[in-house]
Amino acid sequence: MPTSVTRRRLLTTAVNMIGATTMLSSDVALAQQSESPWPQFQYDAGNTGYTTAVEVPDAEHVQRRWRYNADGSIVGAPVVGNGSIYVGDGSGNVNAVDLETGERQWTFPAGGNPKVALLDDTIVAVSGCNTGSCNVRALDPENGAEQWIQEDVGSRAPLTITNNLLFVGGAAALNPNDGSIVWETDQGDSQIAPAVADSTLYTPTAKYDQAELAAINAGFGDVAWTGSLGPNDGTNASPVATENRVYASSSNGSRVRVPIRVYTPEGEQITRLSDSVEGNSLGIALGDGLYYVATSGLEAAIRAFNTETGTEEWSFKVRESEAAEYDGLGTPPIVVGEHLYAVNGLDGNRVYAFDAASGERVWTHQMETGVHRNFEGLAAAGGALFIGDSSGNLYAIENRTADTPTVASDTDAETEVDVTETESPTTVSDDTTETQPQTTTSRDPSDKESARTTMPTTATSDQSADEASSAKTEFQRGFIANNQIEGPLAFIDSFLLTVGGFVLSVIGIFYQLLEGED
Amino acid sequence: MARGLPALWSVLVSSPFIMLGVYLWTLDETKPSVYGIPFFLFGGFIVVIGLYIRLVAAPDPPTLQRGEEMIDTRNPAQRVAIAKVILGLPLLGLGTYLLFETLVPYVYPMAAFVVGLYVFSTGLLTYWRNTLTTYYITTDRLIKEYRFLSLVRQEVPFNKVRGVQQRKSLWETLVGLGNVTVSTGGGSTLTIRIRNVYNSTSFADTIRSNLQR
Repeated sequence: MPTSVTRRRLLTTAVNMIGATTMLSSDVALAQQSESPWPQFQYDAGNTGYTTAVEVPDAEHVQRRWRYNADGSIVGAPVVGNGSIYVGDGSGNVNAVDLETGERQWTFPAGGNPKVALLDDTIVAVSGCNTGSCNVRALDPENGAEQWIQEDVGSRAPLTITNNLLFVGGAAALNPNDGSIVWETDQGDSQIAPAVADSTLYTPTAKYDQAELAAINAGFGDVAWTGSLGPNDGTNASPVATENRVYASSSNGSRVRVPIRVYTPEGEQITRLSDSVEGNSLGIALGDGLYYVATSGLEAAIRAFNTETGTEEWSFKVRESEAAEYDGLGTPPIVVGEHLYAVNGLDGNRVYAFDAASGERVWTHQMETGVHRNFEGLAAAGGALFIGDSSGNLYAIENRTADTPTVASDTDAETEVDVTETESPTTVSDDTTETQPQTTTSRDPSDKESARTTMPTTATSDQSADEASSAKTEFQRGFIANNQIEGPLAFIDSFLLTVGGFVLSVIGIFYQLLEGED
Repeated sequence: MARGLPALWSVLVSSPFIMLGVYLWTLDETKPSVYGIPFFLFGGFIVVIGLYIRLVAAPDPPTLQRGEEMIDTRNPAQRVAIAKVILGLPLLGLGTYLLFETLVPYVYPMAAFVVGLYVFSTGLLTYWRNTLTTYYITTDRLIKEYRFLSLVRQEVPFNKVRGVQQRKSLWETLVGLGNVTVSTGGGSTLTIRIRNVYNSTSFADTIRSNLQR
């Protein structure tokens, strides 16, 4: 594996390096972080999105605990700790919301699309940009008071936090206690959350037309090794790292298969051809013996692969073709205990819960609008799952208790929105999923179509995997009638339809202009 | 340089496409940004062709022979073209709305989109071709010139004209337009069709008066 070591900032930050060295010499591993229930994007510094330590809505029926309405689209990834949930909005505010009631506690104007991370329930780290200047701040979780600010660090960078260091994308490391810069590098991607495991930070980089994965010494900022991620067409998946493996991929257009690259911490690539996925990889999460990839593009799907063999264990196709609107599943999935949670972002406005081992769907929850493209990840804690949409709604979804009426916040005057599909899941169209009353129970179990969709998508072969996945395909816009997909792809794809129409028109006009009048 | 204001007109006509393209690309975050690309590019195509016609295309007046005088110069009227463009835009808008803002089966937005785009495009084409076409009546000849990339010049000497046909449909009568067809006889008949001109009767009379000389 080629190695390129960069020590550009080493001399200028020598003092901070000494400090970092001191911190690293402790027995505390870098890869783990605060004891907050959900302290950062994808739960931990390794971006695994996997924990067994928090309670989540895992029953067959769910309900909305509350809905909080922010001043702008919910962006970044919410974090949970100190009895609150913290999340940024499109108006540039960081919102602190009561975990139980959904009431606003405080807001702080951090600047465009702020990103949030928590350290030991004592510091809310926030990155945000105002008029070209991107700053990182520490706020008091109790009242939002600013504790320190480090100016001009990174740009729109997500924050990754460990016990000792606060990483601003893959571009810089700060001392979380005072905000001082420990190191900076131009090797890491400042837009994508890096993965940190075992004192190494993994971040995607771009070298001309090729995307690479860079392994950077988390304490010093020098590059240990780099590995290929394939053609550079906008890397958009955060890597995932454990002590033994690093998973990463790059986007490569929207209609081709992209490989999931698996590396050892030493930089050796483990090649498994079966790991490639159709379309863009939008996020990777780990589970018990499996890792999960959310994809977009021609096919929006969740695919589960065996971490040892790389073989596909199950898949769930959200939709094919035009479906996931090219931006597809907007966030990486998360795995909590035995369940996997994923979002069909821009088009279907749905949150799914699956049995993580088998792929059997447990429930589906319908939101009012899709997630914002800058919404980056789910969060779970205190028996609830948290997700935000582009209308500025932050939802807390919890198990439904049969005798307990829906708890609605002051901002939530609507009826409960719940599409629970377990005992008799059905194909749910957009027309039928809105505002189902809480008294709604399972649909007719004798419905053959409904029964067909209960099939788990555990795959025994490629064919059966496809069949099982197709069986769970939801509402699909058809050419003559919906849910009846027929005809060429160009006839059931909004983008191709417009492109085809305009191209034919341009050719016709140009040809007849050349010909002149008859 | 072409007559009229083809560049300004083309920019005006292209603006809904360019604005929709920019909106889809930058502001509408409920749909993929790429949806804006075809609209933006189609709008750009209209602007580029309009600029080209304004700056480069359209023929120069013909060179007159000794003793020959220019009697009348006409260009096709743009009313029909403008009517088609105005009719096509709402249909295109309806198709786009059904395509992107609803989940009705694709056949409905496709039908509205295709019909709207056809009507709009034929209107656009008619406008540009009319801009590039000029009819000249001299004391000796009837000349029709058209130039986009290459020049097409048709001319009929009046001493060979065997017939003048004038036509007005009901619609053309209402809007004051008419067509005049001038043909030569013989084995290789040359016909010049003068389309959509105002006061077609006086135009035909001018031709006839030249025939009688």
